[in-house]
Amino acid sequence: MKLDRSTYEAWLLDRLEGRLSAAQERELDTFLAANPDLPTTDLDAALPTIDPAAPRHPDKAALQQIGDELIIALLEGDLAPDLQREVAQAIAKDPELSAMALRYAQVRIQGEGSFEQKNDLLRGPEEVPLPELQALLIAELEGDLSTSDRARLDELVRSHPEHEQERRAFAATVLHAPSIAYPDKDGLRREQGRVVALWPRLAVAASIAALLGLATWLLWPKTEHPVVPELAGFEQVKEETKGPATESMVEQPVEQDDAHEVPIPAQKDEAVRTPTLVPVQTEPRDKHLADNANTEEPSMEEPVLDQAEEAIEKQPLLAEVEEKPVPIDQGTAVVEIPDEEEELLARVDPSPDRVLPEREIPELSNALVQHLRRTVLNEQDSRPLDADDAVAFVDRGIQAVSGGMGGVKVERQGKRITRLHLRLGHDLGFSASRGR
Amino acid sequence: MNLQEYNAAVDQHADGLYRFALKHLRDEDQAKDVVQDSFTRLWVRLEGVDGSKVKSYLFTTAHHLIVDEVRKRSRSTVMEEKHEQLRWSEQEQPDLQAVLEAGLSTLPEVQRSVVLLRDLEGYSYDEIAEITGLNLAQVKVYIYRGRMALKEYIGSLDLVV
Repeated sequence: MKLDRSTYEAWLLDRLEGRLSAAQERELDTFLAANPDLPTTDLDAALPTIDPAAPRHPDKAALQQIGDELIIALLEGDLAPDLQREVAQAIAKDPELSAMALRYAQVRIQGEGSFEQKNDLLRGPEEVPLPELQALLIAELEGDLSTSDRARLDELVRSHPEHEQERRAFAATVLHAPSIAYPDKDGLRREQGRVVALWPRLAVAASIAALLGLATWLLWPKTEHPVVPELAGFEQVKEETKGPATESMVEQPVEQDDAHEVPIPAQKDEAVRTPTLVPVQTEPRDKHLADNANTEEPSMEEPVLDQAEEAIEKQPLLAEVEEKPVPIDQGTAVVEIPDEEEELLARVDPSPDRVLPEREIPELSNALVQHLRRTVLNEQDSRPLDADDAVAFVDRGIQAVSGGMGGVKVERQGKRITRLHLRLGHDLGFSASRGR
Repeated sequence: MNLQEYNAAVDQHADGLYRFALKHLRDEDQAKDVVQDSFTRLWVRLEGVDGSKVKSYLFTTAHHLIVDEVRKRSRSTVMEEKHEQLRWSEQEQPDLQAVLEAGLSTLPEVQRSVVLLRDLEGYSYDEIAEITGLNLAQVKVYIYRGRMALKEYIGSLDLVV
């Protein structure tokens, strides 16, 4: 603060309070000496003094005169404790002050209404995240709870009783083993057996089956497609008709032979009926040939060749026959010629070698078939081999290899194979059945 | 293994194996086939199977056979199960175990296997992992998911409360 005529009193007060430094003291003295007109009153005498022995209000009765302020201060809690107690005692003694204090208390505005969702804001014990609770419950179910986890789960369920329902729900998910027994346990047991390698027996079985199949195919009579040799023979005969005039063709009907293997249907289609032509002499040499020649009553003067050509045209093509192996017609069957007739034909035929080989082949195969049947199957039967024979051969072969413990069995419904069972030993067998 | 051990395995495990397959496939004939095939494979490999692990071998084989069968079956719609679920929903108070089995059929095959192995046979996590080819963590996760799904299934029918 700058010392001048307007501030020198403040400087004087600061001197009295001892706030001036020595330099400021000297500056103040210099200023007062330079301004002697200024009053230099004794400040110490002008200031009041406080008696520390009487700090209280000098007139307590005066309090009653300003009762409103004290009462309001009392209600607002603004009084010091000692004064608050004295004022309260004064109010209690004076009915007017009491009434005044009551009025002031009644004019205080009271808060109305409350927040209805207050309970939602309240916080109880610790909330549990659901995944943690579920994990603990499942772990309890699986017996995986550690000691600390067990304590934690118990505490959670105790503090949240609604979790007990969750606990029961998980406990209900445990499956109980039913009292179900396997019905055919005896079928699983093995009495005596040994572990065998599978491939050698399979190889043996496959080899046997292949050999027998090959033998069957080679020895099988070629009667299922007899058209081929028949046509060949027919062409051969056709060529021969252009030779010497002493030969002619006689249509010889095919006789029904029960001993013949090839089944001949009862109803014959005349369109596919093919006469079998054999070269004979113009005049029958004996009664047998004469009877045969008279059966169909062919005209000796008619050109038999034309009939043959017509028959060829009516006969189904080779490709058609191969695609339809089932209809084996009467006219396509091989003719069984009696031995005496064969000798006769050999005598009269200038070139019998052209005809006989066609019949020698089936005879050879028939002989082999009969031999196989007799030696392998112990049967006396002259019919050609069929599918049942092939199966029987395979069966006997497997029996021989497996020491009588194996075999093959084929079940059929009509011509359709429904089940095949191949047994290669005591504990080894394969079954195959046609699907539904 | 020898013959005696094999027959002992039949006595000890055929029923459990059949239950496992039956609960899984819900078809008696197919379950029988699984049991027969499992024991046939055991018989073929008899000398190579340790007697102490025959149960694990049988259930592992059965599990693989069941998975193959389920995958074949999944290619076609299994209407019977749909009808059965519908029948459950129409009944007022169905048996809890029956409903649980119906719920079991809704689980994926792996979850179904681990839950069945756990509940019916009491296998440990390690054993289930060995049988199913899963690791330990996967087994635990699948069991957790299976339990959750079953709880939701039966919980929706208000059977527990």
